[in-house]
Amino acid sequence: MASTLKKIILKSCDGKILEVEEAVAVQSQMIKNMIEDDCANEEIPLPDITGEILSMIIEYCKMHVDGENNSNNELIARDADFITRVDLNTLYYLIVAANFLNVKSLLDLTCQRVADIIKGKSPEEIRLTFNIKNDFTPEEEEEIRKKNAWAFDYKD
Amino acid sequence: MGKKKRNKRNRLQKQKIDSNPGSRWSISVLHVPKELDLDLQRNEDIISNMHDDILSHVISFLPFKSAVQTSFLSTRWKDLWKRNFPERKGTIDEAFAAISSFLHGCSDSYSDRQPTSDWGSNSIWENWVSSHGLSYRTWFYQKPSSLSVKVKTLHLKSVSSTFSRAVSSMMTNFKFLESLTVENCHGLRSLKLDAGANSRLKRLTILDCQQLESLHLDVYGLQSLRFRGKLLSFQRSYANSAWFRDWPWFDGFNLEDAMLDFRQGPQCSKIGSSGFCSFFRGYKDVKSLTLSGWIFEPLVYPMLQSHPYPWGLKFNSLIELWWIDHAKERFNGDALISFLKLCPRLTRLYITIDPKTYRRANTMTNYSVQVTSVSRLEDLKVVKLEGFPNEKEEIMLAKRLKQEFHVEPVIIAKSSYLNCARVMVKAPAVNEQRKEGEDSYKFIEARVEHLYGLCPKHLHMCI
Repeated sequence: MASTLKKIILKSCDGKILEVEEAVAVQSQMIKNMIEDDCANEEIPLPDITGEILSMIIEYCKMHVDGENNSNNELIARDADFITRVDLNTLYYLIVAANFLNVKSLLDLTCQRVADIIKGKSPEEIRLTFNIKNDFTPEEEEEIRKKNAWAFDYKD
Repeated sequence: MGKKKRNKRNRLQKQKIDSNPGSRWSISVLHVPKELDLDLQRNEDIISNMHDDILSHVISFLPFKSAVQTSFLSTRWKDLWKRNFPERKGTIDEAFAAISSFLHGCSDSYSDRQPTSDWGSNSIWENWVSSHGLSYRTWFYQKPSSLSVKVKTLHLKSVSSTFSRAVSSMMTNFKFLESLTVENCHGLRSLKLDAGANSRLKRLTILDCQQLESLHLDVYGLQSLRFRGKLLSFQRSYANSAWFRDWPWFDGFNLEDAMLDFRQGPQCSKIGSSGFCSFFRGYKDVKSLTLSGWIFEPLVYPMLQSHPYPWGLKFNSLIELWWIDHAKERFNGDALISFLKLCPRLTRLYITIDPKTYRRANTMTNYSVQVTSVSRLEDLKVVKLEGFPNEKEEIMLAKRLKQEFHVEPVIIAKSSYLNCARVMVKAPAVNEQRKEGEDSYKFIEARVEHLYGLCPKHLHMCI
């Protein structure tokens, strides 16, 4: 099967070159579109993705291609294993890269992971976790609290 | 690779992306400075710099409450919400039409109806119609597994009487509703929630509905019930209930928090028949309770005398009590003290004296609580006072608590200084004439932040 063995060459922003099987590369909707338009015959530069992140994404895509025949639960378990190994900073870059490359399942997985981190935390705890600066004036904050008291006090 | 060629490809790639609006994820741009890519500074807030699309996607994975809370993080997140959930404006007729079609169109029975939003499969939407003081706000939470729209939380504000029927049909339409809030609905006279035994409704909040006269509930398994407004007539129906529900002491609620803030007085003239008496039977699991002092005599006290098993009427789980009362020059604590005798595990007591509270002429001068009453409040750690007419009254209450329950909790009162509170301490014996065994107290000023851990706000105080 010549078509599945065809290699796509990807170049990260820090100059790393990675050869990927087409079947793996087309997990990215963006690359798939490029292949269809016949502009993926040479290396594809990825300006915002480092080699490290790119390797991770390829690992992920490979996992999904290889696991196509596996049960759904097995894939979910593998996804969970993949994503829990990732620290917060890497997670950001994975999101951005998954978004850029348009790998829908990875984007869902990474966004879900961020949501899981947010879940169950108070706004103050969320700010601490993500270094978000509270830029409301005390008056604005008071107003938000008053308006949305119902969302502040119920425990889920 | 030649520069020209690469440029050509980049251009091609760009064209491809632009010409494909369907793949919405491919057009986002991250607003992070380039140099951060390689050398990330740990304290940078990267998440807020992400594109709206990505943040919306993250939010769409959150449970409803957490999703709303993200709008409290910073102006960036608040604006994100504003942009993604625009407010609609129109005439009353338009609003009514929108609401009607919304109510009918989004009922859970219409499972084949596709959501019109282009959000992902797991979405939260807000629909907000406002005009001439009428605003209607709904939240949707859609489970990824199903195409049907499942409304879990509904917050209705300023719904006029025209909509009262719609409000009442809410429960039939929204079978997945877990939380319902009806706020400021002037003109709403009666509310009937007919959910039956399979209802998922856990939380019901009714705030400041001035003309609401009657509430009819056919809901089981409520965990939270909050009222603020006038005492209304209350009915439970048992149409769908099993036989044992007809027993007088069966209540069907598993209330964990209850707020009966009726400081605005009664709506109906016959207070005794308001139906709220039946409420107090089901309060055994309540952890947080708010009560207006004046309803003790007409509603709680008769219960103590007529309960089928008087020893059963105790609030064994009650941890925090907010007592709202009035006082002109003297605070009459009789009703409060009588009530405290039913609360063996009380840990925090909040007393608010509100001069605007409804006053009821006391017909009884002394309540003799005949049920087995609590003589010690061993767990009572802190009492927070607000609005007392003078310091003498505050000290009187402290003395009375000691006398009745053998406790000396920390007593905190509001201070006229900013960020300060007054804390009651024992005064050294300066007065020789002081009777033996009697303590004298005074207040000292203390910084508020030191007290917060000891005395967090009552659950109902931020509503």
